[in-house]
Amino acid sequence: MAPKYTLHYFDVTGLGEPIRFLLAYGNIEWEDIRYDDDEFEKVKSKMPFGQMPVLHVDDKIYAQSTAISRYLAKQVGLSGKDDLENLLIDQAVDLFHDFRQKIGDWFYDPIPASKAAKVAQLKDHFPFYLNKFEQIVKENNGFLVNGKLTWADVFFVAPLNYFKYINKRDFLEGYPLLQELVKKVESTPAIASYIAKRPPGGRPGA
Amino acid sequence: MPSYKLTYFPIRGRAEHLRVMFAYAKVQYEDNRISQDEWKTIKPTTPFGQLPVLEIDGVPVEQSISLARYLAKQFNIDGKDDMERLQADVFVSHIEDSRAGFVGVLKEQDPEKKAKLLETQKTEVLPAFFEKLDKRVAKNGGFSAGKSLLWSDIMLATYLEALVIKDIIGADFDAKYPNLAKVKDAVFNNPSVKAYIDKRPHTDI
Repeated sequence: MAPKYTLHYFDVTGLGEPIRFLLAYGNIEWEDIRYDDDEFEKVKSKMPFGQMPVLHVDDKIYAQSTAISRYLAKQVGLSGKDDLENLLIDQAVDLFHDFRQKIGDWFYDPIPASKAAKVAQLKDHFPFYLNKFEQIVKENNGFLVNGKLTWADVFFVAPLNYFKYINKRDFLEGYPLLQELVKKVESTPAIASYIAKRPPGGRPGA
Repeated sequence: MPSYKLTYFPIRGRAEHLRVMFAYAKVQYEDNRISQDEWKTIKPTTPFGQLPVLEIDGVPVEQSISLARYLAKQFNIDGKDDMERLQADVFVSHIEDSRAGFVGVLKEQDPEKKAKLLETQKTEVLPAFFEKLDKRVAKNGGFSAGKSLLWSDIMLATYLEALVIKDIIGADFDAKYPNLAKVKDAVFNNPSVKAYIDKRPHTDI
């Protein structure tokens, strides 16, 4: 029997969304528990490392969005065909992680002066990474790895709305291949039908 | 067995876990330690202008954690099934989160602020983290994720070593977190790891 999955995350796309996309892609049912900030504060101490997303698989509990995504990808057939393809997927995922971490560093910086200083760094940061990703997609026939859909593509596309939301702009403008990649992932039938019925979220658009 | 060439600076930094993994698995590789001058020359030729880069049969690949996971699979220390692999990934992700927080503090430009943040890391952030991690290892029966040593144990050991060098954790660490100390010892007391450490070039970081 398939295990019972329960996802705990905020009521936004963000780092929970790759997990939701992967579950949807695999036609796996899951309970999607969404928290606002106040609700999270109440349950925080029960989360393994005080963080979300957290996935319950039957009675076991797992943290860390990338680790969970890699596991689910294997279950739903979006892993690489061999070790080297898996390495290329991991490489793309880690690059995305580098990209989004700096955005988060800026957004969540509580000190106004140092937050302002980070805006200047981000100016170079966006084109540096987005040009690289555009180039990778060009060299890989429209995907991040070896010309076919893998969980690297899902991991890249799923949280983008959240990062666009906190940046208040669509930073993919001027990167046609990345825009195509978003369309490809989001129009995958099982993912498209999840998107059609997903809740609007506590912060609309995020 | 493919040919491996690891290119990194002449420090432990973000490559030491890979070197320890090679040693643990007793697999031959070229340990290419390059100077800053050499780096300037080859930087434009690397995929993202970052090191370490591991060449696998001549194909260059970056990202040290991705590389570690790949080598773990090759060396059979990645976990016995998907659940164990997930546990190892989770453990490594927690370490990387902690490292990112700590490195963020090191980058603080204002010396006064930096000293304050470092103190918070030493007295609050890291102890809270290690306490959770120590419990995790205890619950799992002495290793980070598996029933025997996996790459996640090596990631922990090399992270702890880096914090010792930076004088962030001290002599009381082993007594406070006995389960983590056991993992660290299991890695560094492994004979082939020990042999590597005895002959590795001395570096301050």
